[in-house]
Amino acid sequence: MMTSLRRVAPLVALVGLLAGAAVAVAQPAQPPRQMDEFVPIDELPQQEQIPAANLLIPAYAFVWVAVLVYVVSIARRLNGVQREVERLEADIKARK
Amino acid sequence: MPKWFTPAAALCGLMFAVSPLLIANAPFESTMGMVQKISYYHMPSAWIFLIAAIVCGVASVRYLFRGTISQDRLAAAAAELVVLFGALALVTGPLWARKAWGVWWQWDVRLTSSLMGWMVAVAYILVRKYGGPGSDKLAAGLALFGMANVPFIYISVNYWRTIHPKTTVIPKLPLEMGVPFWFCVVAFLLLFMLLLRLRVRLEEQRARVDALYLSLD
Repeated sequence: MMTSLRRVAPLVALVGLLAGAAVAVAQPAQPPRQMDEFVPIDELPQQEQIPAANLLIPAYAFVWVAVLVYVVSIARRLNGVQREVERLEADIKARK
Repeated sequence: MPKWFTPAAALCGLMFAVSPLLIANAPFESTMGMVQKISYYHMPSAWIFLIAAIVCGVASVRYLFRGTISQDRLAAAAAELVVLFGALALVTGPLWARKAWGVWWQWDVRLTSSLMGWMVAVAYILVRKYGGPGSDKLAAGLALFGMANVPFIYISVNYWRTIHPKTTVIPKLPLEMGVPFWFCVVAFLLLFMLLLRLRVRLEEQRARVDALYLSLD
């Protein structure tokens, strides 16, 4: 009985160790905590600026471009409808 | 167009031209750094997204119960702005999240309900465009769902577990961050009013075209 336990013990220990390691690896990284206020700082570490700029510039560019495209779209649609109104009014006048 | 439109449009253009300078001079946030500056456009876009959904919903209720055609035009105009400002919030948000949270998107309650609200507005426009006769009333019903979703979107971060910042960040903003933030809020609000007026004008002109075609027959 004791002999078989001695044989199995290293195997159980190994399985336990591997399982523990697997669980530790499988754990997601600690998620960032939810913020309830923004705390300002004066200086930003230099290495921080480049990756953030790659996201910041597209964000602002998207807002400007989307608004501009929408304004152009409304202006074009308004001009088209305005032209149609003028044409129809001219047709109605011509009939009278 | 009303007399106030041109001066208001000039003021809005000027405010948007000045806003990057104010944002650039605002301090960095201690944990998120430079990427937090996306918030100066992201949060006003998100607020206008919610305001537009409320305008669309209220106008739809008035159209459904009173049958006022002008309210239907207002609802149709506001729905398009829900899609525009919702798209701004839903694109700038993930760009901010990628750096702040390490992921582009989280299926948490704030983001998911915002996406749902945006999709309801898209559905409103599609129903009106392709729904055939009576689709305006069906779309008005959809707008009610969009409006009912608004308070849920707003308070969700305070009640559910999420990494999205709480609504308390706004009243707690320090002055040097608060000035550019509220400046951007006013600029976005002005932009919303101008675009809404333009879009309603488009609906009015379309109605005029329909009336002229009828008078030709």
